[in-house]
Amino acid sequence: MANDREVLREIWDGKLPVCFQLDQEEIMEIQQPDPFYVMVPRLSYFPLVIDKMKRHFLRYISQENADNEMWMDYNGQPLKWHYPIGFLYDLYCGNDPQTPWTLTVHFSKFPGNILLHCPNKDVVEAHYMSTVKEADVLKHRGQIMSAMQKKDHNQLWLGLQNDKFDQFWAINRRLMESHGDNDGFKHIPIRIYAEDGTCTQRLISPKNIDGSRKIIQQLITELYPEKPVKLRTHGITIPLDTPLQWLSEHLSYPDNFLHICVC
Amino acid sequence: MEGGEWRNNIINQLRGRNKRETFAFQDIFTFQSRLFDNVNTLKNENLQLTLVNERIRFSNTESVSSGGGAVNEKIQALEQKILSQQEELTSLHRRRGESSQQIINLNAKVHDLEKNLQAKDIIISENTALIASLRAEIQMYENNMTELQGLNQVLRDEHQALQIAFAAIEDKLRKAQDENRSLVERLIKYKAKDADKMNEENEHFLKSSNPTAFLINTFGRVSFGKKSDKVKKELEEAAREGGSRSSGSGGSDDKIMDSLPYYATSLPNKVALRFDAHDGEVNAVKWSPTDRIVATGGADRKVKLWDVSKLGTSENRGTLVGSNAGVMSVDFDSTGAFIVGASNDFASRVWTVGDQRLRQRSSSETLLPP
Repeated sequence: MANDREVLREIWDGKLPVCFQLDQEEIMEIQQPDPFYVMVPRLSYFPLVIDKMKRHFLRYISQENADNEMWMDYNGQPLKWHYPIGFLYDLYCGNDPQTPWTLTVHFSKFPGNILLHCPNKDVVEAHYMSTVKEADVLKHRGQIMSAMQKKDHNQLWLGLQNDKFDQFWAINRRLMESHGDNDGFKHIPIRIYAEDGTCTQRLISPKNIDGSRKIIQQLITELYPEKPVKLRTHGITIPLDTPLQWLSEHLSYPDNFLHICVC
Repeated sequence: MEGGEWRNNIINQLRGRNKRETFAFQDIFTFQSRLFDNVNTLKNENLQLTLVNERIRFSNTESVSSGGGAVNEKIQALEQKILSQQEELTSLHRRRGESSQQIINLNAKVHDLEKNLQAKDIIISENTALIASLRAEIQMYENNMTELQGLNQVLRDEHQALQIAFAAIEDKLRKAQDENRSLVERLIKYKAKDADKMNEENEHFLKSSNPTAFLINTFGRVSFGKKSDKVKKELEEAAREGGSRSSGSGGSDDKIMDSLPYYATSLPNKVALRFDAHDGEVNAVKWSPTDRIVATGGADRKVKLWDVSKLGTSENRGTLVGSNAGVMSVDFDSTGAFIVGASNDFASRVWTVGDQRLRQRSSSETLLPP
């Protein structure tokens, strides 16, 4: 049960200061555009928070690019909008914290081979819901999500989109409950990313073979037997004796996955 | 709630993170965004003010460039006037534009209305045509109706005439039937008379078949009615005289001749009619004095009436019952209305011939000595 409200609240309230700058090559005005500063929730996605920024920069670019899809990069790394913002920060700036986080905005040369297209927010919602379903399949064989009504799905999405903690967790807590007589999930939905952004997703049980609770230390030795690594998520280093079940219940992103960076 | 070192560690790290990343920048960013908005609005305002300023300056330079003095003032006033006139002109132009627009709109409306009107006219003409055709139809149907009514009247008249004719014919028929009936009655009467006459003739013939009475009969035949009777009597007398005269030769013959009244008698030698009257023997027979009816009495305890008016046939007119033993004798009264029968049961009975009912029974038991 995800009942440690203090932890949940701290995670939910995490925001990142971001500074958007327009790509120098795309500026078509004599006057230099001001950089755009904004605080974005770590748990949200970029397409949900950049409307105002886009309006601001549209004045400074050539008209022929105005209808193009906007994208961002950090130090030349295009940012994938379908990852949570906080995870992207951890991935690219985890070792070298840099605040505010300075991103470059582009309106042309969309890197279609790296990024997914995102014409509107419905696409984000569809991707989000499918990820939640995948996580539920791993945790409860998909029974919770399929038992939910359409309005519950909507509430989950709107809670995330509008930054409403109570609205979101009223539904999400059902996804975090252990199902049936099992103590804990069937598998832990977890994605572990290397520093270059490659993703590893394995079937990982919250318990050891002997039935005891699995902790992070055991997971690391299981996955990286050759050298000890540190795992980071939500901007913090995970203590080695944290149980995996508790971690999944409390430190999962809203899409119910644990996005963890290796460092 | 689960707890432990790791949890405190996580909480502390999270708090540290939020302090570092969030709270440090929160206020600055809020302030920045407010400033950003302010800058934007001010920029817009500035732009507008510049525009206004530019316009004012333009008008100023124009006014300044013109010459000085009273002429200047005049010119200025005139220019002012021109300006105002121009403004008026522009406003008028605008108004004209508006009104022309209005006119166009109205024209369009008029056009529409005309179109509507035309459509309605078409509809009306169609409807009038329809009405005319319907009226013609009505006229036709009315004509038909009057025709049919006339026809009906004619038929009714005919019917009436036929009924009257029918009544007249029926009357005629009734009259004819009445006439027919009376004729039939008369015919029957004549027939009856004929029959009577025939009977009479028959009788006469029978009488005349007796050789002794032949002469008389021939005479009788010659002379008719009561005259013949008279003649007959005279002849009888004459014959008796002649007889008595001739009887002088034989006394016994004379006696016989004297003792015998000179009645013509004849013996029936031919059966005119034969019929079975009774079961058993027939004991009595009697002619009715008035009608051609014969009453017979038999051992079967019945008295029967026979109509023998038609030659060669007999018709049973009735059976008078009531006797308890064989009827031995019957007789009519003088009018032929009653008939009396004597029976072996020691009683005599009287019947009426008309309705053939027992009228009187007189037992002889009281008459006879015990």
